[in-house]
Amino acid sequence: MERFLTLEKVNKSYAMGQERLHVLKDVSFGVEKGEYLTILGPSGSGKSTLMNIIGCMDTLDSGTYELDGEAVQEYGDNELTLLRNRKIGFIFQKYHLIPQYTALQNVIMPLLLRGLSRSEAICEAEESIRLVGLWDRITHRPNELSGGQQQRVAIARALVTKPALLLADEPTGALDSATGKEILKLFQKLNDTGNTIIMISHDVNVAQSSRRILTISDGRLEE
Amino acid sequence: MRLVETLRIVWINLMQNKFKVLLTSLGIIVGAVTIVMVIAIGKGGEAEIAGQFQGLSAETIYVNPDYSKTFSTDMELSDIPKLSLDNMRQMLDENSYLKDITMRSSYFKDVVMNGQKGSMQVAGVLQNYEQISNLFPAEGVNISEEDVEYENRVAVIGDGLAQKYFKGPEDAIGKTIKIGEQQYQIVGVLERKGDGMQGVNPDDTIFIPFTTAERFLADPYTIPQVVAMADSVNHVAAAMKQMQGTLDYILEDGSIYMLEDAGSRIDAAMESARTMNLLLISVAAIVFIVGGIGIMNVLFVSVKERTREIGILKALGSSKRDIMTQFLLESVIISLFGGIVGVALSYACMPLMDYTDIPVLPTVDGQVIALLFAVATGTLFGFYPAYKASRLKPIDALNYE
Repeated sequence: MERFLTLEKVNKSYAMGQERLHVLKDVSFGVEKGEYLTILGPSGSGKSTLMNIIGCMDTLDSGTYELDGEAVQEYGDNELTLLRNRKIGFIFQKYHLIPQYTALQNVIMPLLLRGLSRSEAICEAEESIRLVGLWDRITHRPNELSGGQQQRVAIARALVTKPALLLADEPTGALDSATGKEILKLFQKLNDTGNTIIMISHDVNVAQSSRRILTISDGRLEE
Repeated sequence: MRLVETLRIVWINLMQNKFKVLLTSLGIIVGAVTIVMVIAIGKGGEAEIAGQFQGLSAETIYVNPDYSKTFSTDMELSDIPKLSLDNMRQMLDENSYLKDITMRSSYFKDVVMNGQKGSMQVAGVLQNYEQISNLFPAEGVNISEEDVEYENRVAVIGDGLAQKYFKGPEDAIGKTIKIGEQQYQIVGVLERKGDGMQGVNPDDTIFIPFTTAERFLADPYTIPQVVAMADSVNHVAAAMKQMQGTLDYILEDGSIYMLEDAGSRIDAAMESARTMNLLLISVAAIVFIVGGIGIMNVLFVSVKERTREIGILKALGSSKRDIMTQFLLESVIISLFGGIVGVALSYACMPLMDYTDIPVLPTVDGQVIALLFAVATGTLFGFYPAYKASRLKPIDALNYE
C-alpha cells in the first residue's frame, strides 16, 4: 500500500474573543491509497476543522500536511484552490448543489472551473453520472430532486474530476436511514473500484460501514 | 474558467432572476434615456442657434444703440440720435474694409391681412437687404431701389404669413394689406427660412421700403439698425474700428452706439449652448450615479444571498478571478441591458418632445455615449461587490446561513 496522505503534528486554534480555542492538538495520521476511513467524533470535537484542513480549505498553524506528494502547509490561497479542484472531491451533508443550475450543470462545474469547454465537460461527466444512476434526471434542478437524488448528484460532482481523495462530511446526515444506507452502499462500491474515501461522522453506525475508524475527541485523534 | 462558460453561467443566473434584473437596471434605463434626451436637446439647441445664424456670415457688423445707457442714466430712449441714410452712406464711404451696408427698422404694428387683423412684425429695409440677410423672393419681386426712393407702399411678406393668411405665395401676390392706416400691395413672398434670425423670424415678417416705414410708421422710440458687411472675416475688427471713428465724428457721443459683429455673436451663442449642454450632461451623469448605486445595492444583497453558492464554487476550485469575473459580468450585462433598453426607449420618448417647445436633435453620438455610460456605471459599481464576493473565505461562505 502506498501512503499518500500524511498529517504530522497538526495544530489549529481560533480566536474566541480574548481567548484562543485550541481545536486541533498535535494531530498525526496517515492514509494509504484505496483506504476507506471514518473520522468519528461528537460535535465540538474538532472534526469539522480537521476536515477543512484535509480538504485544503483552511490553513494549519503548525505541523505538516502532505497530500499526494504536495506539501500543502506551504501553499497559499490560490494554490489551495487549484489543489482542491485537482485532488479532492467534496460531498457535503447538505449536498451544497447550486440551486439555479440543473443536475448536469452542477456536476460539470468542477470541470468548467478547470478550463474545459461545456461539451468536453459533459463527455467527461457521463461516466460518473451513470455510476450514481441519475442519467434520466440530469436536466432537473435540485429542488425537483429528492434528498437522496441530490446527494447522488453531489457524489457525481465529486467524482467527475477523478479526484485522489473523496472527502465526505456527514454524507447521510440529512437523509432518512434507508436512503442513507443506499448512499453508504454506493461509497463501498466506489471504494471497491479504487477510490480513497475519508468520511467525517458523529454516527457510530455510519462509521462502521467504513474499513477503518479514527476517533477524535477534544482535538486529539485516536485509532 | 473559460470566458464563454462564465458568460453561460452568468446568463443562467440572470435568466433565473429576470424581474430582479429589470428592477436593477431601471436606474440605468432612466439614466440612458436621460442622456440620449439631454444630448438631443443640447444638439437641438445648437442646431437652432446654427439655424438662426444661418445665412448670416461672420463678416456681418451691427450698429445698435447701447440700450443699457438708457437704464443706467436718466437718458430717454427718444434722446438717442437716430442715424440717417446719409450717415450710413458716410460710414461706407469712409471705410476701406466694408463691402456693403444697409439699414433697417423694425416695428410691431396692427396689420389687416385678407380681412384678418393681427399684430405683426414690420421691417423697413433697403433694396440691398436681400443680399445681406440672404432673403430672396420665392414669388414676385423684392423691394427695389425705386421703391425705396419713391417711398412706395409695397410689401414683401414671409412665407409663413402667406401660408397663414392666403392660399400660399402665389395667392398673396397683388393682394392689398393694411399696415397702420395705410394700404400696401404685396409684390413678393420670400423663400421659407424656417428659422428665426436674431429674434426676427423672416417667415412671419412684413418687409416694406425703409423710407416708407420712416414716413408712416416711425416713432421716437424706434431706432433703426445699421448692418454692414466687411470684405473679409479678417477685416472685421479693422472695419469696426473705422466705423466707430465715423460714428464719433457724426455724433457728439459715438459711444451711444454699440458695434457688434456676427462672428462673436455666434461664438457667444454657441458658447452658451455648450455650457447648457455640459449642465444637462452633468444632470444625466447624476442620474447614472444614482442608478449605479442602485446596482451596487442589489449586487451587495445578491452577494449576501449567494454567499453559500460562492462557498460551493470556491470549494470546487473556483479562483478569486473566476468569482470576480462572474459577478462583474453580471453587473456589466445588467447595465448593458439597461443601456440598450434606455436607448430604445428614447426613440419612443423623442416624439413626445414635439409637444414641448424644446428643440431636439437625436444623434447616434448620444446613443453611443449613453451605452458607454451605462457599461461604465455597471463596471464601476459592480466592482466592489464582485471584489467582496471574490474575497470570501470558502469555509465561512459554505457555512453561511
